[in-house]
Amino acid sequence: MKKKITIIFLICLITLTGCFGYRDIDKALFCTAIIIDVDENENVLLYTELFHSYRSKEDNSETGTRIVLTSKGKTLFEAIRDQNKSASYKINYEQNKVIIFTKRAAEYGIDNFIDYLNRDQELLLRQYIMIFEGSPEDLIKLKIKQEEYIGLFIYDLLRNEITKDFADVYQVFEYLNDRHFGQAISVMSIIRIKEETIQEDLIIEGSGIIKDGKMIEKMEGKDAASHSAIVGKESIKIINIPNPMNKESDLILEMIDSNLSTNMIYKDNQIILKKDFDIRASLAESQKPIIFEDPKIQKEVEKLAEKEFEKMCMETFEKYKKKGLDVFRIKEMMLRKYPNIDIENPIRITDLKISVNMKLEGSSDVIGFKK
Amino acid sequence: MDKRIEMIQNQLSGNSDFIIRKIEVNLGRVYLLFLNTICDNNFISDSIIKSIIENKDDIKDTEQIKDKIITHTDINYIYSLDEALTYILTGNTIIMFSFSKDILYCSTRKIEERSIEIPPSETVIKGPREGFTESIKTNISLIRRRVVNSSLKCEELLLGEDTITKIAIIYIEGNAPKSLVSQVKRRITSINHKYVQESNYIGECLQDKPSVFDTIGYTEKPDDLVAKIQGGKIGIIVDGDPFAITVPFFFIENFHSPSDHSLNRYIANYFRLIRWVGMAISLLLPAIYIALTTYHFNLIPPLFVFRLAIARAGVPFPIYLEILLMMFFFQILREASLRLPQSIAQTISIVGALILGDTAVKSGLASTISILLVALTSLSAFLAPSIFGSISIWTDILIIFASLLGLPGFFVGFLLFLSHIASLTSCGYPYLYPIGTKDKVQYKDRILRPKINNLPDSINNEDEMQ
Repeated sequence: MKKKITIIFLICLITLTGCFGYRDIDKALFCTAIIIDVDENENVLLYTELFHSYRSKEDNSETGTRIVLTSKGKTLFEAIRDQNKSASYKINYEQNKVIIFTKRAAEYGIDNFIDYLNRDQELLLRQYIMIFEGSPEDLIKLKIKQEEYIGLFIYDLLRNEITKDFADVYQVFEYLNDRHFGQAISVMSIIRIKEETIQEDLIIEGSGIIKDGKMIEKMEGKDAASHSAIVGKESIKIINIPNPMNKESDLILEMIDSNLSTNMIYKDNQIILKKDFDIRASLAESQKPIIFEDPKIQKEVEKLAEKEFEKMCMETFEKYKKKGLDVFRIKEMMLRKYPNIDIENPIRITDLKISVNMKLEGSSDVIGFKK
Repeated sequence: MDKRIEMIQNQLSGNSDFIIRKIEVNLGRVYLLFLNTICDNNFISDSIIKSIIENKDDIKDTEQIKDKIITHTDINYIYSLDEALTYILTGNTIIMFSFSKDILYCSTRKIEERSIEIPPSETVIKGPREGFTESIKTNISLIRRRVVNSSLKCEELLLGEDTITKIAIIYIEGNAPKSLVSQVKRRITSINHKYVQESNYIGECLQDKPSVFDTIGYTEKPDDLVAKIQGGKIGIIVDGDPFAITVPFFFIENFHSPSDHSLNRYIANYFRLIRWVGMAISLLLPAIYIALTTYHFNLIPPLFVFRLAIARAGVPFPIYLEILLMMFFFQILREASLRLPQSIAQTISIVGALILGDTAVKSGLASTISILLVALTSLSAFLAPSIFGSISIWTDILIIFASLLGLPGFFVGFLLFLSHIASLTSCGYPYLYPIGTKDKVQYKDRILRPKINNLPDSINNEDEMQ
């Protein structure tokens, strides 16, 4: 019996392994970033950034180089096949870090490409996806000092804790889920080339709202942070309030940690969405003197910060409520909590109630600031 | 000459060391027969020949010679010529008489032997340093010195039709399970080799199942053997071999060091864990490396993928062949170092490692990462030297599985490895104990060493075991 079980187990292991193929690590071109664009005739224009390792014939040393391949096809698959025609080794997408849709491609429809991105075994579901505002040629030719590879630079950028505070970091699997939930609205970061700097650089600025697979509008950076806080992805990290001791100057608070509890109540054709934030913050900067150790001042700062936080969230919420865009995933929440009630666009009948409990946890060693 | 002596002479003809010494006495002749290369010639001259000559006119019978003339503790009658021949061949002196049919033997064995030295295969940082020698007598004395207990039993057997090798089965009565003692005795007595030269002749017969893993333990250290027999195990010493056998032997013991009991418990356990990790590295690392670098690039961090690809650029062989080749080179180097005299071996290993490693990379035959991997794998394997060979073979098996099927292949190979060692037994005891068995044995010195108060532990819980 034991032998039979072992044999069955071994057969299962061998036969249920999927379609793997032996390939030496140096016999592949590793893709780090894919940029998808469309032309006027709706052909797919594909730009891939690749890593190629080789042994230099000049100095007989091993080295690696960055290669950019471009191709065109009626579909994404055709474009990828076309690209392999000019590759010395098979292009491997397992190390691809980011899939970038140009704004034009996003407006044309991400759903036109998503099937292949999901179906292909090498393209992993954990890749980041985002939208690029600008010309894909400019992006692929961009020379960033921080990192030679744009794909790796964006990967590091999106994993940077500070970036996460203001960007809607989005991965393929999230998009594949979101397009089936609620109003099929997704919010993903927009990236652009920073022109106002001495050196060429990339910057995340705002987010693209994707509805039914197409980008319909851009969400500004300020709203993107509030949106992240309301949906519970990341909290607003910086709050700018007037200094209680000098109303004309600013006091910057940095949020250290936040907990969000959400509750939804549907009553009398009205939805009440309750978001209770429990936030720990610290004083980051004061433009003018403040006696921070004074409990009264601290209390006042807390109140002002709570108010500001609430205001930021409410403004963003009301903005999209007016537009009827359910970027806060209210329909999904409704369906989870009240599966028998189907409301076409629940954000229109939703009131957001925000409660913020801000606790100031001091500052650095500099607790006060006097003239 | 006596016909009996002629017969023995015929049997031992062609041996220049065979001596027949005749002494004329009042009753006739006394013949001393011995092999002068394995006998104590001084003792024969001083205690036998001299005694007989001094009393040559007063000899009445053989009984008087045995009891009053030759003053030796080990002298007695033997009753056949075959027996006499055996006694001569094992270093005894046979005394025959022209006036009597009696045959006496007197133990005069003296074989040049090594002094007690530090065992080279089991060096210790702290703790006793003496090791067994090739002499069974010395070895038993080293054990008796450590166990002053009437329960210590040392049963001697003679094995090997042509070698007549002395074997000692050593155990502590009451500690060793009776069934184990009888099983070991039965298996040893059933050995009918013509030659028994060393302990492995016995060891192979005590293996329950053919395997690259030894399911019997070997030790060169008397203190180690004593610790084991105190725990209820059985020790077997073979004359002519400094390696004593211990049974049963568990897989976990491969990671125990003789100095574990002498060192601070926490430090000893730390090093034990390192030995386990070393075994895991040597067994699994090459196969995992091959699986990841040929099938599952997505499981390697991006920067490391690029590094690996750059390091391997221009290597003409597939990764699995490159690794197998480098491991083969290492085995060649190891064998060369082992077989050559120590002074040359050191040079060979240094030169070999430097030249092979460096030139292999420069010539594009191997990548730097493969060299590092093979070096790490081989060094790790040496942390548990008793299973170096077994682990090396299984490493190669896992490499083949991983190169055929990637990680699923690696898991299949690893599963086979686990099934194999789990199926092994050592004299009826599960080899993988305490892993993979519900049997309870009072054996506490497992992966981590317990407090000294809890030692010696015991395998004696036979009712639950059998």
